[in-house]
Amino acid sequence: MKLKVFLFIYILLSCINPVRPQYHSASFYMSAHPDDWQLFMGVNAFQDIADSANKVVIIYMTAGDKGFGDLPRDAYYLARQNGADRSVKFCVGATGGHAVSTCDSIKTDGMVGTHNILRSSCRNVVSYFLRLPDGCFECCRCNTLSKLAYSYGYANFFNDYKGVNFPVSLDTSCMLTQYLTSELKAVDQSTIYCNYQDLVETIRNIMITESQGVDSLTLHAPDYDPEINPGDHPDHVQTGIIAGYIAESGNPCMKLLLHQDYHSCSHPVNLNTEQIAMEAALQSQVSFGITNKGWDSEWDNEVRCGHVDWTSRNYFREGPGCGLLSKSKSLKNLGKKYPSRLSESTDLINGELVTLTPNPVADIATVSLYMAEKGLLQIRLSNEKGTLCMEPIHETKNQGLNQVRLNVGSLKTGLYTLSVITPGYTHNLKFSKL
Amino acid sequence: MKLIRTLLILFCLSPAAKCLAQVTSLSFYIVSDQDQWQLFMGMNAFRDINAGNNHNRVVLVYLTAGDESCNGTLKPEYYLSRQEGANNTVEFCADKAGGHGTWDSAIATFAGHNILTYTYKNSVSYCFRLPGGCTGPGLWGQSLSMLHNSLITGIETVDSSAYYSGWADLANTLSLLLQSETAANVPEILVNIADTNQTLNPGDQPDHYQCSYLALEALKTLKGFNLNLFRENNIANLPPNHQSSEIATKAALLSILDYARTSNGQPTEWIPEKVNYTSRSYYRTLKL
Repeated sequence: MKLKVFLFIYILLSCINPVRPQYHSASFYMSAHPDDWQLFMGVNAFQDIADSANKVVIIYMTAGDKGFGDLPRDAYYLARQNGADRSVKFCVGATGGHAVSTCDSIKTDGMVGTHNILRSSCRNVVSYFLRLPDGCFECCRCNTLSKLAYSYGYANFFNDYKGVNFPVSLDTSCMLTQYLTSELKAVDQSTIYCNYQDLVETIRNIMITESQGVDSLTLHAPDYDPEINPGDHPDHVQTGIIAGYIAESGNPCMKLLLHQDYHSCSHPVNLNTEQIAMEAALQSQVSFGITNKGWDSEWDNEVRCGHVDWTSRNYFREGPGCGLLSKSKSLKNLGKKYPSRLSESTDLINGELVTLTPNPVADIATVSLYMAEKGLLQIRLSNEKGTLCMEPIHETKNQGLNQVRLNVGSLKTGLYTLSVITPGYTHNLKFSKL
Repeated sequence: MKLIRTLLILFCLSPAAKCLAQVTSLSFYIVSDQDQWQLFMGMNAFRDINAGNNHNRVVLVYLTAGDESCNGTLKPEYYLSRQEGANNTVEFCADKAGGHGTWDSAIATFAGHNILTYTYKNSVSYCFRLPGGCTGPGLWGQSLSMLHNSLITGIETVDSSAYYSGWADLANTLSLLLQSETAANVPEILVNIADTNQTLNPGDQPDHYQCSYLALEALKTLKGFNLNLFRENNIANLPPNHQSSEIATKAALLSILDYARTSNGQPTEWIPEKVNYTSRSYYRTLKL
């Protein structure tokens, strides 16, 4: 009898408990330009959007202004955004069986850190428009994503992207002299990323914020390996590299899928009718959104490797995401193959990869970092006066991703500096103790 | 003499001269529904419309409103969303080359009947707005089949803009429309319709057959037309015959159609049956 009563209460509670996670999984799409995810990841995205229990987060890195910035052709990037919005709404409408639900756009205003980013929401799709300057092939402009990345040593793949499919007028001297910056301003001047790490951490914050309560995460991005995905746009490569850093750090823990972009058209058609239709449907919305605002069509199939060619191909591989470090070529290895400024000046690539979450921290925090090789790791915490408060870690760590759990509950409320010291390299990070 | 030459040059550069430019190719698409040419004649229409110059004129005739009221209540938002989608597909094709244009809307009158028209670049769309989309009686107990079979004496448009007093009146109106569009003595004229041969094109929607019967009747007294007769619903049972870029183009048209529906709160038509049509087109050409 007691068992029956217990079961009855259990079933009753199960039925009336309304607290269920809205999404069981989340898929992130890092898109350098407003039309990249549709062209190169379209089938994956379409299917992900169709799954209403899956949240899709699209992060548009650049405004897609093709180097014009916000002047004088400011309407161009807005037209491309219009196309991107249409492709999302089409997919939501086509997979929802009925009308598109209300879609809205807001500024993040502190949701994902200090930067104000345009955030659109449409059923299970969230879009972030970072509106960074689009570093097009033909122009050598300051203040681009590639420039920022290069200044921090992550963009020395440039020569590998020169002249394969596209005539590139940039030259190395231009890269060296002008592609150095310490900050990056959005084309609508809505925000400034004060350094490369600020940008990477903002994207990481977006991912952490949007994946709350979700069991499994997948990140789609351009393949940054020039041997696999040669001839790609520099902004695609940089987007892939940022995705790679975040995925390899394991924070958040994501499966990483790396897509071939422009280069995919050199491969045979590998999509079936239904899949071609999906990608073409998305791209047609992109193109219509652009032409409808008075700009040139993106529906071209007269030349080899035009936009339409890409809609019949989708090539991707699983990259070194969380838990896959030993199975696939990592960014670190690429960094050795294509020495970056950072790795030339230090023997570690992990300088920009040290992360501390959460920040501010109450009691427990996690530090993530790479070790280029096995060696001594010291982590020290100092107060605002520079006085050493604790040294919670002083031990030998293996090469690769390391995550260290810190208990800072004993510290007083205030601002602290976390110092990560490895052989030949020190990295400092500010954090707040609540 | 110099003045005349200057005036001649100025005239040649003017928009009026463009309007009078010699049309060398004229294509009619006479369909019942707003998604019919895109699904079954999509590649032909895409090529015709995106030629993007005034030498290639495209005339789209939509006989029904595509309201699918089926003797029930008229839902203007539904058929209007379908027309918006159809117009957007025209724009998509036309804007592939030559930049964005301007839409014009007007009322044309043939045999005393008012017909709504939309003009965009080298295309014009005529919207008869008769009740359509049903296998039985449509709005107010009317349909093209019933009119053709004399089960009703006349048919009224869903927006009450016109009333046709019988099949002959409707055919005569269409004939006058065709004549008005071909007045410029165009050397090459092609009429695209659904195939009326029910062995080659079995199982088509009743309005599609009736639309073709009407077109053939309207063409009876006219000369110089060639016909493209398209198989429709049954192509799902035939092997795919499109290359990937053609599949993409037809899918693009379906996508553009669908967006207008869902963004106006109407049900999607991105369904497997219609997506399947994107991989094939079958038609035969007849010279009249």
